[in-house]
Amino acid sequence: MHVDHHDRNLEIFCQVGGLSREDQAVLTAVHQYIHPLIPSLTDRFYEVLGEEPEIAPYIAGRVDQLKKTHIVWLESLFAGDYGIEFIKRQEKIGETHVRVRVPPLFVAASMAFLRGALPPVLAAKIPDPAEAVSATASLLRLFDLCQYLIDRKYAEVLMDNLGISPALLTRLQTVGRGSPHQG
Amino acid sequence: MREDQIKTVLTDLNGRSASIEASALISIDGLILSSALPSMMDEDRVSAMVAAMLSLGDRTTAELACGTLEQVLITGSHGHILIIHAGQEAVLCTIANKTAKLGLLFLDAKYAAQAVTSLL
Repeated sequence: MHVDHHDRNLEIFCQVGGLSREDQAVLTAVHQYIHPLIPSLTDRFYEVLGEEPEIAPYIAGRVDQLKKTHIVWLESLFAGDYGIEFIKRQEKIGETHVRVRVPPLFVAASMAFLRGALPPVLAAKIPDPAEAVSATASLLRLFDLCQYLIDRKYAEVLMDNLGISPALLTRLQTVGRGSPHQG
Repeated sequence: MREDQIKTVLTDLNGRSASIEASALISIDGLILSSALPSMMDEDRVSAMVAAMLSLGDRTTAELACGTLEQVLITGSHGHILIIHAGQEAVLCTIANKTAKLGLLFLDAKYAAQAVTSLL
């Protein structure tokens, strides 16, 4: 996959996760089957969010606008360009979540919803089962990338607020009670 | 050799007063560089926490327009934890019991920080 080659963490993510240019082609090819279903999927998504009392206040009064944004984002997943502009857009989404004070839990829960909701749609609407399997794998990898980029923005804000370096953040995240001693 | 010298500074610091119980030199990324800590303390966790505490102190001091951070003092029911910079890349943590005279503790820790800074 074409990513900013200065971003070593992203390179590791794509390398280990198997995210490649092939995913772009796979998802672009199935866009035609998914495109008509995206608005209804988005409606269902916001119904679920609205039913959760802790999330509902974050979307109250602006659901229609949020749905439009969400549709654009979902469409972008099948647009076949996951280069630097795509990465920047995901980071911007992360920044927006931070700015409106959406907790990371809600992002993770939303991604979990989409990971559960979309594969059955792909399986049902893509005529070739093998292509559906391939598209599902690509889409799940892409969801993970998006969540990684959004979570990374949360981590950056945390580091900035605490004044800590990425190395210290990693250390604080991995040195727990009873952890084996590390050098 | 240099590690031995740093260890000596910490040992000397611990010996300056009966109230000083332990000390450690930690990188700003939270790695132990040298320590004279009791064996029951988890050096890895302590070092990460201390580095984070100093970083947070730096950030809070700046945010509240109090200038440059000089020290972080944490006081519990049984004693004090004093955290100060030791150069740009390290942090000196000194642990003292409740009987410590804070002025002397600050002074001893400051001299020790200067000594280890010259060795880093």
